[in-house]
Amino acid sequence: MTTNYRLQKQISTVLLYVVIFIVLVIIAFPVYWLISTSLKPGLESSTYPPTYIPSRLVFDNYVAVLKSENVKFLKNSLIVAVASTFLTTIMGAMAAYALSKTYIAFWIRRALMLWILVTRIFPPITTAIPYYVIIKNLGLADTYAALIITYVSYGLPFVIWLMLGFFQDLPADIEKAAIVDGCSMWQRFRQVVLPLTLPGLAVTAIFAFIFAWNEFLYASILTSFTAKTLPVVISTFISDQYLRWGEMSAMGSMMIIPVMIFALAAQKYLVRGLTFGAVKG
Amino acid sequence: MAEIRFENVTKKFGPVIALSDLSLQINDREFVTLVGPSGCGKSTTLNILAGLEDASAGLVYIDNKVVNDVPSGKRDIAMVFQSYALYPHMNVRDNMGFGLKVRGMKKAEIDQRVSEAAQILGIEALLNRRPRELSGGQRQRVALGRAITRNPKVFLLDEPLSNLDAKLRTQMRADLKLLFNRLDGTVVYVTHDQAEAMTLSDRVVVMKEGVVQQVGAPLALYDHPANIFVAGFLGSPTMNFVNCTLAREAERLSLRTGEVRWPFNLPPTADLAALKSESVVLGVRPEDITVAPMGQLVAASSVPCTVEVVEHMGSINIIYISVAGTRLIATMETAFEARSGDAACITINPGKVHLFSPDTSKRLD
Repeated sequence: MTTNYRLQKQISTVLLYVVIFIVLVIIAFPVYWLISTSLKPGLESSTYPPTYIPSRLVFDNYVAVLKSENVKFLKNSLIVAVASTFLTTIMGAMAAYALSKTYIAFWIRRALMLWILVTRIFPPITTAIPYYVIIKNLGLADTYAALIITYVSYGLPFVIWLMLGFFQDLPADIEKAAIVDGCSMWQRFRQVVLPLTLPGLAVTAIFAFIFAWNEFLYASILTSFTAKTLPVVISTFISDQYLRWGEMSAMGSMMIIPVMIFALAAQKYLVRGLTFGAVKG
Repeated sequence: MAEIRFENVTKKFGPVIALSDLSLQINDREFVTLVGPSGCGKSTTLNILAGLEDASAGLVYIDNKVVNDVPSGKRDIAMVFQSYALYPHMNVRDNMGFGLKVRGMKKAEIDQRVSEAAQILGIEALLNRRPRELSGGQRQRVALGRAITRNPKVFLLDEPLSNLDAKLRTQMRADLKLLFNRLDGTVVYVTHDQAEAMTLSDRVVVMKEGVVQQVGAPLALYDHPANIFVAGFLGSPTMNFVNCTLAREAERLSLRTGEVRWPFNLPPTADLAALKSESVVLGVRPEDITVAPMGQLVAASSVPCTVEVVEHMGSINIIYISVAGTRLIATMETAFEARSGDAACITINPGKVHLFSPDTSKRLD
């Protein structure tokens, strides 16, 4: 009986690892394909059947991509992503806190929350043209401000809904203690609530950063040269004559790096944060 | 100097009345306990006093000033919560000094005040720890420390001992009493534990369903409960209640339950004379019943009964007895040995019986 049980347990462990391995391969293969393509020489990236391992490793694509002009676009991407992440997280957290802690009639709160959510429901393309006209009339076309305003307005609903959960899960007594200690609402938010919801802030910041860093549609519509970001640059490698797979992959590979660094730095918060907000302690 | 006064204070949550027309005066430096079962309005009263809830009607005074519109932080009060509500991201020192820091006090003075409070509570060694590194009892002390550091006029304590285990609770109860004897503040203490109310307070306010039932010194309430609720709430084991019929025999009054005639006579008081019906509720505290084996007591002053269960608690014995189908609980300090089903008899201390009206549940004197 005991041996049987032990054997069963070992088999299930092995099976578990096999499943994990398969899932990992599925997740990691596109990344591997991207990086290997970026290192393939000449036209090897377009051959059929494809080569899974590059015949030799060359860095020509990286050299071609890293010309001075593209460094400027990298800078654009960083400025837009960092600024919009910062603004989305701070403004979203403040809005969520106000919604969770101020006394407003139930139906008004509900209407507000629904309204905030509705802005996320329809596909972004539906507002692209009016958005372009408004931005252009405001004289903001092809500026950082155009993209930052857009990303903040698109990121806010997500941040508000996520942070609301975190704030509602905070023990009420801690805030009451702060009130009795003489804190104003802002002091409470700044000195007691924010430090306790750091995991939530980290999660929302990561999502906001990834969104702003990868966003293509609005970046391609609202910018032409000065404020152009990397996803738009990558799209220029596609022309009606050819697809420059090598350069596209090289830039794509480099684009992953900042997000990975950011996500790794906030990883311990990410895991804790995703469960913290959802489940009552 | 801080006298607290509630004038006709009512609190409604939608259609629910949590507190109904509360009028209460708490004197300077008095230790007053609000006690009652959950939902009786005691915590609501405390929250209104703390400024965490607004009164729907009525006025609240601290120090003879109306504070209804004074924000919590400006009422010069400190509060200890049942959950302790320590700030998890600050160490003990910062937790205790936070209220002073918010008020813009200089760091040197904050440090001095924190050290003094820590010394009083014996938590100097814990000052650099975070709340999660403390035991329940230590957290409790830090929460008290946070209140003491502020040196407020009024201390509000919301079930501060409820999260501690029984042994620690008894110990902290005594410590609390000593501590507040030393401090110069008015204390309002909320608990559902009648033992805490009885042992700690100068005066006890018993509440039920948002209405004050009785206010008075602990022993006054224990000896002269105003109604059946107060009588049953204070004391453990709880008071015995028996439905009786009043028999008027010439100058004397006696009580009967079915075939049983209770072995004492009552003086014909005004309340009893004015009583329209003949039925009353007899209340007897367990310690006022003496149980003895059959035949040991004088037959005329005793009633036969059957022993159901005897619980030996060490210092006292709790005896469950049945008198003609009515269950009574008696406690005795003397040794008592009996088995379930044994015949025995009881006497009741006639000076300690309480009578209540079954209609109004009020005390009959």
